[in-house]
Amino acid sequence: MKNKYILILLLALTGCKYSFDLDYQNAQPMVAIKSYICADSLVTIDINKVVPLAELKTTDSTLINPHYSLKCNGVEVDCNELQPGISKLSLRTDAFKSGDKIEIVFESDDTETAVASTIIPDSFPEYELKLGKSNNAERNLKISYKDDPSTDDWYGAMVKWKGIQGQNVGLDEMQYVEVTDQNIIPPSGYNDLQIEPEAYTPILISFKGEYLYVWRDLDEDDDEYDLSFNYRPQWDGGAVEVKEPEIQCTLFKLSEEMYRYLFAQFDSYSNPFQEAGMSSPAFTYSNVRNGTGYLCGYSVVHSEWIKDNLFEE
Amino acid sequence: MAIFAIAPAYAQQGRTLKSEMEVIHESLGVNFVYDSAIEINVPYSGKPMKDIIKGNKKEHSVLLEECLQTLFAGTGIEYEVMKKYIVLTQADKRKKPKDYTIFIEEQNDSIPEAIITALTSKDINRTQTGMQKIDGSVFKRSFAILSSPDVLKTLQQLPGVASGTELLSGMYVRGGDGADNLYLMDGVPMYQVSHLLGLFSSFNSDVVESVDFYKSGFPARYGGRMSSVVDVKTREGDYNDYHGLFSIGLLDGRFQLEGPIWKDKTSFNIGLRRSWIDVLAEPVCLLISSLEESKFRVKYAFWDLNANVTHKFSDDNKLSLNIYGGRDAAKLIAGNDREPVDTYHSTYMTQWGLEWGNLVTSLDWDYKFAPNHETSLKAYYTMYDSMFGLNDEGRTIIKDHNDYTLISDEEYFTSTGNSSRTSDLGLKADFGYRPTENHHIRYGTNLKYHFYNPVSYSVKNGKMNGEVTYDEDKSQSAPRQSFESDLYIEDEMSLTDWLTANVGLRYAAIATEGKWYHSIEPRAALRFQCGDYTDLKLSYSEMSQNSHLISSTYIQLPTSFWMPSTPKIAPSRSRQVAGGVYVNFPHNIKFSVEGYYKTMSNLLEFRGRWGLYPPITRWEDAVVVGKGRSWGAETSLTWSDEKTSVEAYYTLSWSQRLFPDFYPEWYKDRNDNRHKLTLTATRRFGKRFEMYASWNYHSGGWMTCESHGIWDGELGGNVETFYSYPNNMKVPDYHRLDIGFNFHKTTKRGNESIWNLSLYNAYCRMNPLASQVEKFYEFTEENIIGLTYYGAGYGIIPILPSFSYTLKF
Repeated sequence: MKNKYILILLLALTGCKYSFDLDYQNAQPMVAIKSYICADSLVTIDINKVVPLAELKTTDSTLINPHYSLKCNGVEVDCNELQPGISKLSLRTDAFKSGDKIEIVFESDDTETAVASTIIPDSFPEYELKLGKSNNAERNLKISYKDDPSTDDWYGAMVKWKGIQGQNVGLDEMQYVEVTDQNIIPPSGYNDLQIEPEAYTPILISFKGEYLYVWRDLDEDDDEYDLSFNYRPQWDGGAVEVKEPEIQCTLFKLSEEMYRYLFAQFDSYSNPFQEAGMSSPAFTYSNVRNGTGYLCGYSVVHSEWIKDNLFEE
Repeated sequence: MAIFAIAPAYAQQGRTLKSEMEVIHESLGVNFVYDSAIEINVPYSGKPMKDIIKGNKKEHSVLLEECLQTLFAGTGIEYEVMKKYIVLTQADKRKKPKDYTIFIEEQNDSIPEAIITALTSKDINRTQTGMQKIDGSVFKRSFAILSSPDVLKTLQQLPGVASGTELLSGMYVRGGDGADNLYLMDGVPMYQVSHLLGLFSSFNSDVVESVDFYKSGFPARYGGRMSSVVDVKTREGDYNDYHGLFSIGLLDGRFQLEGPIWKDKTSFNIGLRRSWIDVLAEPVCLLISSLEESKFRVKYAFWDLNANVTHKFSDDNKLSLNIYGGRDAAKLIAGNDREPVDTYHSTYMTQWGLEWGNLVTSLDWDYKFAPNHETSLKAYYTMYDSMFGLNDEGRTIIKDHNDYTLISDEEYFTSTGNSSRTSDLGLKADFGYRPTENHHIRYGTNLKYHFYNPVSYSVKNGKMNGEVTYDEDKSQSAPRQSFESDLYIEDEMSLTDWLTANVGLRYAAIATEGKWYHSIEPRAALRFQCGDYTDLKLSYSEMSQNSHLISSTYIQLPTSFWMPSTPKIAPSRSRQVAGGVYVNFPHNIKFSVEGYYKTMSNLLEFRGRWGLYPPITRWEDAVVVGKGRSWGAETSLTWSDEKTSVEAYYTLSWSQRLFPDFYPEWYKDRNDNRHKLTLTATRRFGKRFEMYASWNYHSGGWMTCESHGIWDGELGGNVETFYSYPNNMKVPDYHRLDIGFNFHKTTKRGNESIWNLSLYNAYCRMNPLASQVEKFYEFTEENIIGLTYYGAGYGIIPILPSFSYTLKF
């Protein structure tokens, strides 16, 4: 019955639906650049030619006569080219360091010259980790660090575990396998991470298939932050048996572009009004001029593995 | 210019215009106000006024109109009735008055400010750019599209004002956002001015005295919003006679009454409106309910009330109380109401409610210390509150088939929603001082205390066989307060015969959560008179805004709430330079073209991921800060004669945004409507029939859609899509034709009655409320031919016919 009324309402609205040609105001093929550049790691930059949706079936997506220039602090950098498809080009190069300014300029015969840049941030500030019990008998991972109040900074954190995991292979028969780099699954979402003093609310986003908390500092003078991550690991509750569990925290410092891109991704997953044009464009971000995509930098530090024996009897 | 109150009749040899005016003055109790350049000592050979007046039992206003029409036909003199004054002006605008200020002061005339304003209110005589003064009589004469004439609909037609589309409608002035217009009701700010999600405005045209609308060149006495000022003044009641009107229409009904409480001392004016939509919907709901054995109700209603009581201690000393109250309420109830069937009985009820309203009150004391020094003190309270809620409840009872013993009895109740209340308590003091004939200095202060109180709630509980299974209450509120004070001074000055200026300075300060923001806002407007026909005007103004509308969508829903600037969110600011040419051609043709460039900083955009409810306690995390700029040209061409008036407004404009959180370069604003054209025509056929038509067009707005992609060519295969930049897709253009007809009649008792028929959106253009990108694959049995993307628009406002019957008494 309830659905009937919703249906009536939908009919009333969709009864006036009509189609029209997409008007992207003479949209042309453009370049999409995609790269997360991690300090001190090998770099991959993917470049595609993308065509207007209305011309998907008619426009050739081949990159014709591509030219590029990748610079680090104004100095040209040599790249290896991989071309996994006619519309895609992958550039590989050696690692950059924190503080490097990376700029790419890309052009091909039928696209405008696309330009993107980012600065690889320095590493996460000095920190302390402490694993304890939370009030409601869950685990509480406390991360304390000092922020530089004179700069705007963007941070990220992910928590992983390793241990010896038991698997049922038959009746009453267990097989134990060593597993590592497993994500702690956040029990409820971004609310599991509390930041003191109250900074901007953190977001929780999937980054390369793993859960990553992202937040930014305040524009005020506070410089000492305490992050409190309350969680219940997968093996609590008996679904999975894990022996000798240990956890590790990976701490990120993000470029502004990366923070914005991840925030837009987060927004796009949960914005119910984006497709109808009724909300702000917060679900999209690009820092590629005359093109689309993202060129972002970040740096990571990994903590020591911490033994999790809080609930051992 | 001279202003004369006609003295008792002079002896005249023959009949002249002047002698006939004296007859009107004596018989009908009105005074004439006119420019000394107007020649009234000319012979008059038409029907004598005393013949028209004698024995005539028509209503006073009808009779007066008849006299004036007869007297001034073919004289080149235009008249305007303003209460007991008849304002005469030259039909030929080349003969414009220049020295009216001098004479008013020399005569120490007590003619009301409104009359003086009317005399000086012709566009060409104002210093400000981007200013439009609309007299209340315009609304009385204007057509009742959707039952009653509407102030905001009238303003939306003006150049430089984007209206959006229905249900998203508002006033987007010169690239503004819609929440940056200062709406003043008798000098008191209003936070929300729409009924029925924008189809009606909160301003009842029956009680409106005048509307001053500023898009640029803001005088220093106005502040607090970035984009425009809509200063609505309501009318005092008549001090001598009782008048009123009664109107009933398809959508709403109106009643207005004014008159003396204490003759010549105290008057009142009351206007009341209420919609009937809920009454019309009731039979449909009953039908659905009976067919479905269910409870189904849809209700929507709005009402508003304006009341004014004014007491005159003397001509220079006046106290008035103004009250406005208005409310909208929508409710949907759906549920079942069936009898239990054997062993199973299930009931549910869903209630969805939406409510918002305003309360605006002020106590004003106007006093003239000296002929050249007046003051106005005001104490006011304004409040806007809104509520949005959804309740769900149900119960399911299952019994055993055999012995009917209870197997389970499950109950649930959920209630979610939000509410908000924004209120200001303020004191205002405005002073006017004319030290010399060439200066009119205004200065004053405004102290405001803002209270903001958004609340969200989520209550859930359930029972199984009478025992509580869950009980949650996640309600929260985030009350905030701020204190704001303003100081201003401005001087309206005549520097030479050809140069006038309005120069001012405004200082605004806000204290919010321990932080002070200070703003100094220079204002300047210059007017150069280039001969008798043409004016050149220039202006520069800066405005700041300390209150921000937090809204999760572009639809104006009561889920939005206002919040002050905070240590994290600084006040918004605009800077605008404007200039224009204003020409009065012969034959009453007026032409103007005005250009502007405007920048805006600290604009807010909301991140939409919170759905309908913006977060109450952490709302600062939900907004990002950026900049805006807009520029354009607005032209206006009007012509009118005794029977016909034609107006054409065209706007060519650009509006852009820069929000680094979305894109590193400037991109189009969603209301970047490149072209806007409004054509209106009114024609009177004889004395009884009038027709009105208005065509509104503007280029479509913009939305953000996936625009580019890579397709692997497989049916159902992967298309990786990309956004080129924000607001990259243009939605279809908006256009709409409104038509109206008025049939005037005089009742047996001499009262004027008007039948109005109107068609809103006459050719049923389904302007899209929302649009989106859709796709379909084209394929044969063997091959995929291709993949096509297209736009889909959803329009919900079809042709809306309405009628109304108005009786003036």
